[in-house]
Amino acid sequence: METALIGFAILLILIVVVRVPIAFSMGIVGFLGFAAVQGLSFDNFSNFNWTPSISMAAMRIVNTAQEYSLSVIPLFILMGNLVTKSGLSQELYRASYAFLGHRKGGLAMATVVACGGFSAICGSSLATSATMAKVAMPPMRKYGYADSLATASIAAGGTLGILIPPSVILVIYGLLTETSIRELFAAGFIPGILGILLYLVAVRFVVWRTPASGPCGEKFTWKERREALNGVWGVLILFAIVMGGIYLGVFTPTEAAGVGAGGAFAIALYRKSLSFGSLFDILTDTARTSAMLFTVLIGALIFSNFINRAGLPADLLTLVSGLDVPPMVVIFAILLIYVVLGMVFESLSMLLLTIPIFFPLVQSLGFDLVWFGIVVVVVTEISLITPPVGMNVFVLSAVLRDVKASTIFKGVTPFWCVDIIRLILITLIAPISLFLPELLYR
Amino acid sequence: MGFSAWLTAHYEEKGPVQWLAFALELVAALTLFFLMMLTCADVFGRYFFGNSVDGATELTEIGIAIIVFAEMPIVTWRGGHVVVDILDKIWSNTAIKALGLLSALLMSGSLYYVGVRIFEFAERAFSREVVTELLEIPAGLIIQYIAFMSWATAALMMTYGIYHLLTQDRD
Repeated sequence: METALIGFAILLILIVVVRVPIAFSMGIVGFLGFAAVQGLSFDNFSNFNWTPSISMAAMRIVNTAQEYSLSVIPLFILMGNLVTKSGLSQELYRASYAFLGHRKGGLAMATVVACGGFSAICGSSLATSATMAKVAMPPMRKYGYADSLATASIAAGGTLGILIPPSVILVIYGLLTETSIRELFAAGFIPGILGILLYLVAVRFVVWRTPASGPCGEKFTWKERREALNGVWGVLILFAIVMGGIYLGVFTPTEAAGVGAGGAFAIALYRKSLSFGSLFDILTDTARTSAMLFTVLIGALIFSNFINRAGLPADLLTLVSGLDVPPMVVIFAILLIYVVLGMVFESLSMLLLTIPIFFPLVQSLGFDLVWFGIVVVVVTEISLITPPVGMNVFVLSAVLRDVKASTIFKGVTPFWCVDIIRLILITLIAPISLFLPELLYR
Repeated sequence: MGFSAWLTAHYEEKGPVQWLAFALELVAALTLFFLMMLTCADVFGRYFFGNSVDGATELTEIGIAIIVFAEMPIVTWRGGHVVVDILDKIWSNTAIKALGLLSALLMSGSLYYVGVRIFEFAERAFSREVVTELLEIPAGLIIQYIAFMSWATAALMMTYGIYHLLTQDRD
């Protein structure tokens, strides 16, 4: 356990103080740590047999770069980028506005629902908030919404991107823990809907406290509503094919990702929103993001090889069993660690650092790894809007240059509170996440 | 807009590096597009014509490796990897650049050494004549590509990457 803890401490210094990219920090520490477990010390540094550790690292790189199931990462990102480009976010917003806009705080509610809808085709929270900010902010400004409520609904709604399938974070969790990706996707659905409902409650609460912060918009007739819905059929069909296909077992996640990307490409072509230049931009942007994610994933896998070889998960289990506390207390302790880490770490880094350590412990305590994945993603969503480092808030204040991050953080507080409620509910009532996977696959 | 103007507008790199970046990204973009089409064709072929694309799985595997490692030099020299920047407010500009140099050295060094081992894997795959299941593509080829691109990433990071690091303004 000592070796693993020293390794972990060095890793933290490398990424926080020395600012080495997290992927390479994890790779280097994993490699040296692996060598240390094999007997490397200061005395035998020059004549040490490095072959096993360097082979381990090289093997991880070669295998991960050619892992078939990982093709879901570029393909799902491509689908999200294509849909973003084809301007569907505008119509999603219009459709939810048509139904909710006339209520108090209705535009903020419409924002939350549209974010939820956008999450159903986009697997990234940052992309969801950045996209929705451009669409939802101007009408909310027009109706005199308080900046705090308007931006908070986008920042909070955007967090749903990583929970409502498809989700890049869930795919990475699935690969790190060898959990079924389609079960994870099924499990994320109901907690995502619960998230939307609770955010709507948060909006209601804000306008109940200060009615001036969220005035009503105009009311649509049913005919207009039906027309507004016409604009979103593309998203609905795409989601139905992709997720329905995975849920019903027609496609594997990889096939669904390819078909989804192809479908999004067809929609973009149909809407004439693509040129060669913009298609090239979308493809290269997707490829760059994927390369970055693959590097981080490879680093995390090398690091987790070391952590496992050093016996940290087993030692941690012995330690926890010695404490003689109920398993649920351990889970809440882990969640507390996540909330604290979430204040300073960016979401992906936090997950990759902690999952290799926690998941064997959670598994040995008898918990379901699919359930734990959802719990971890929800806690990560919370970290995206928790000060001082809330990435979604930062993205928003970068897109909307005239709104200060502090204003958004202030507005986000009620949303953060309902998120904590949701986290507790999902943690204590496992069927919220496990109902769908049980129904479909088990 | 002429192609040259488009290239300059799209790529922050200068001189021949701009062309290199474009060439690598073109490879990645075409491969990704091919991957999307391949998966669609495979699925449609299977469900509607009862005949999937032969070797789709192995082509996909090769495709991902091509995409990831074609982009690797660009993502690396642009400083596009995830960095935890919570202490950036404390560090001075010079300190950040110095740390950046150290990172560049660590990244390039590790990529170079691991590349050597990957290259040995490739040679072994060649000597054992390992080929993919259906299309019988030599497995050594793609492993060799990964090794070369790791070295290219290391070399470009030590040259253009450091130039980029030292000349770029802090956000």
